Amino acid sequence: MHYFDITNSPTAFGKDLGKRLGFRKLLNISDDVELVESLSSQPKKPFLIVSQNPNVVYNLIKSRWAIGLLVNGDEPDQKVLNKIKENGKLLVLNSYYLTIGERDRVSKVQKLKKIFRNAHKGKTKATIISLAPNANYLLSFMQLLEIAKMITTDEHQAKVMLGSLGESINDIEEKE
Amino acid sequence: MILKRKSRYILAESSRPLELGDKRLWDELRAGIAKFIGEKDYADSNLTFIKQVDSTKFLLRTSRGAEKKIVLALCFVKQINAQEVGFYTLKTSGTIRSLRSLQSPT
Repeated sequence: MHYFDITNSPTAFGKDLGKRLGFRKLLNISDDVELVESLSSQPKKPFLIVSQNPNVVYNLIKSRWAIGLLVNGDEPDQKVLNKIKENGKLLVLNSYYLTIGERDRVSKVQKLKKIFRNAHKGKTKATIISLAPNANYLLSFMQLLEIAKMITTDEHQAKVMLGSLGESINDIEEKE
Repeated sequence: MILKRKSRYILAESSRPLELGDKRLWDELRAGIAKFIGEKDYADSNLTFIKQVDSTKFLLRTSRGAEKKIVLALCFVKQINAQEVGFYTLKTSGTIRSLRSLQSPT
């Protein structure tokens, strides 16, 4: 099982650092992965959807390059979750939403737990990434697993969550 | 009957050079961890600074069972000495010997 993480740094982190942290590779936004907000951009590399607009999500999620929908604290609609599940994509949570500040952290954890619970009920796969903007917010695989356990409250589900990003990336690479 | 306390060693790395041998910095890190996991859990963990491996890596010891809470708490400590910092846990183990291969300076 290969584990990946997606970061949002101006410069990509070294391969050596990624291996030390327990990941096969640290993917970086704008180098390896795109963030897509609207239908106007059609990237030819793996991308995450960051829009809350259901029409945008429904159209973009069908693309073979789509990894999934990135959420912060906003709860996606059940129809959106079903669409993600139908297309075999992921609901992507990010730990930067929790680590950025101490304020309201308890309620943020509860929000993410609720989002995961709704996704899990509808059998939509979810994953978690660090989305670290710099080295201070990077997390090792062990730490990301503990945060995933905090959200899923089950160790097995947390491991499945971390592994699903790797599966999705491998599927996209195979289809290339 | 003397009970042997079982420990877990945590090899962690900071995002910038940090001398945790300095009492002031170590106290700040402990306070940050205790704030997240709570005073009772912090007391039960018996967290101890063992040694500074190099400028960024260090070794901690904690009670068995508490290492996961310490690993989680290190995710949320983001400031030491009024400067931003991040901590990554590289590995946990029951012995220092098994962490030796990862201790070599990069």
